[in-house]
Amino acid sequence: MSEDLSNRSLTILVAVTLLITLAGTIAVYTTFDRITGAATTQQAFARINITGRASINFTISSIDWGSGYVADIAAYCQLNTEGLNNLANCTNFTTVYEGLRLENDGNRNVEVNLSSNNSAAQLLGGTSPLYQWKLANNESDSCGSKGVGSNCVTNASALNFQTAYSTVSTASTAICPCFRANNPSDLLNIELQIRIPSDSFTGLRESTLTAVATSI
Amino acid sequence: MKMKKHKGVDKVKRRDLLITLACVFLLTAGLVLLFFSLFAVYKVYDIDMELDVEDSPGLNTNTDKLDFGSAVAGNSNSRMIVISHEYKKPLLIHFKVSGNISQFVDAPQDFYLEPGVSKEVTVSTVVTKGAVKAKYTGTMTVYFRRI
Repeated sequence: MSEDLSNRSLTILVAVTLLITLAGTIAVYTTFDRITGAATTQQAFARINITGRASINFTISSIDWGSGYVADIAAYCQLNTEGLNNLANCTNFTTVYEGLRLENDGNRNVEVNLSSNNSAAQLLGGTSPLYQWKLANNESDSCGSKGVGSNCVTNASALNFQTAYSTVSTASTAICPCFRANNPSDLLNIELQIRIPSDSFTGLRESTLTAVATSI
Repeated sequence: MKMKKHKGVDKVKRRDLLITLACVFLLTAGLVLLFFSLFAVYKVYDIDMELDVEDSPGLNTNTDKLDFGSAVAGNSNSRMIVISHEYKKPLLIHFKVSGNISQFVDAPQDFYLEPGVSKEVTVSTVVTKGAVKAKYTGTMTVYFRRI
């Protein structure tokens, strides 16, 4: 009799255990979810959307002109990332032949804005400093105009600041309306130029450029 | 003969004890899972993350995962996610990053989110100097916790 009761208790215990474990597993299964893209089937009660926006910060220190100074006879020293290093005016600086490269790694065409966290006066100080950028298609047709839907249309003049160095902007500035995602047309050059006055700030100077891309 | 009977009873008792212990263990685990799912956490999402450390930087706006594109040492890349819920009360949003990408990721701070409000959260990666050029991956788990 006692053994029968024990067996019945054990059976009930096993049944309750299986029920609770099953309920717990189902509860966890419905609580956890994975974001799988635009076609996600998220519950209406809690949502996460990954936006089609990305940004990247470049520090100008990654362009290394090294350490140097303005020659005694000169009012300023001018350097850029296309090999300009006026040796008569600039002492000990390193000549740089390559600027920043920006690639569209994704598979969506994007609109790109660029800004700097400081102006020439804030970065270099002194009398008439310059801090400028110039853009170019590293791979032809990387930047075009917006077409129908999310397509880009070939337009050689769509990329801003191509023809000459222009003063960098601390406000977000549109540089390319349609930056292509497909290889081999997805690479832009950002060349930089600085003019360091003889009375400029001294010590390590840093600037950060921010590129923001938004899917179109 | 008596010896045999004792052995048989011991065997049955030991079996019952093992079954009971297994049941207690499973019962505890099941109750913890039930409490976790029904009371502590409202919803959990896993988001895949990816970052390529390379020689030149690149942007990626794909929305199937938090793809930070390419980065070089000293650069930081950011992606944005928008979070909302329609639970009857505010929820605590908590983030946890795992995988080898976690060394570069600043997990967003916890915050309370009112129902019906959308909040944009920025997730950033900062590539430290000396980072080995490679593809880094991981997962960001977003917990919607009841408070």
